Amino acid sequence: MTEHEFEQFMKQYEKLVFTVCYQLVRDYHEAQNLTQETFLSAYQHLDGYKGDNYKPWLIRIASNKAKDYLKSAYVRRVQYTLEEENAPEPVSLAPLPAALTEAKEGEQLAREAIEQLGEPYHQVCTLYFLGERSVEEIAKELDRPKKTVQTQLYRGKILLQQRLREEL
Amino acid sequence: MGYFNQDGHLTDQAFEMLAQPPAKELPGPQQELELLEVSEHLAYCDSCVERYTSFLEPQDLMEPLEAVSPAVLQELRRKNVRVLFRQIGSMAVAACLALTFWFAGAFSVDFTVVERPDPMQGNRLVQILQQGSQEFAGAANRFASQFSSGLQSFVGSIDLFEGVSF
Ligand SMILES: [Zn+2]
Repeated sequence: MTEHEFEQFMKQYEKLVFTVCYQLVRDYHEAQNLTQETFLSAYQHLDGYKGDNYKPWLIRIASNKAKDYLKSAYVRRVQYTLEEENAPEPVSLAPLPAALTEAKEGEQLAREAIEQLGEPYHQVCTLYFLGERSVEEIAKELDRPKKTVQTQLYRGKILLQQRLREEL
Repeated sequence: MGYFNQDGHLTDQAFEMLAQPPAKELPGPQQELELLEVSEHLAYCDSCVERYTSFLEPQDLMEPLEAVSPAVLQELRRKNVRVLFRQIGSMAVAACLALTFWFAGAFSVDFTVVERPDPMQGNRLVQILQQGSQEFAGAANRFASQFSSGLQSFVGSIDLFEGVSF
């Protein structure tokens, strides 16, 4: 694709990409940045794209960019909250807090909390914590990227811990 | 029902939430997390991306704050210049190293195996192995001489503007 053709391509799809970015981050300036990043990424991968419908392809790239942006904002906020609360950082997928796992009813409470979890955490947490499956196996079974399963487990565990603390 | 169904795919409610008119305030932590979950799903799920595409009607699309193409094209040109400088840098380093080795005589090493009386001369296998190693030595010497004679033409052929098509 020549420079001129790519310029036309951007003009044709900029509204679509900007709308997706805005709808996913709800911030005009960030949506503008992410739209530019989406087209930069699209340019790098244009040769490898074999399909004929650019819309879903661009939406997917834009979603990826929005995801990365929102994820870093989420991680910053969680770390900040944890530092503020002086709580241990739940970065590893270690077992639930000792106070709960040692308590007789702790396991039952954890099981119930997992069952009550909504998607997108219910299936991954059920398979990981109750089914003792590996991240690779879960990724394969649910057809999700391994990295997504890892982050969903990470956040699912934080949600579970919050709910269990409320129970105590 | 929330934004995900039991199979883990996005519900119509999720697409309706995305299509909400712009708000003045930025999303709070809860909404930010929901948007993250939805983006994460759209980043890998083809069927939900297809559905989202059908939800985005041309008349509902938003105008960017400013035209996107000038900034993107400028960034692409900047990237190309950076790549070009990196290429020139690594070629210059390679050329300097090659010249250093050349002047140090590294490419004129004689790989020829010195013939020695062999205590196992009667063994055919050893003969085959020796023949092989001599052939290797010959090939290595040929390569060394070709490389050192081709070095000048290689350095001379570096096209400073290669890869600046964009
Ligand atoms: Zn889906």
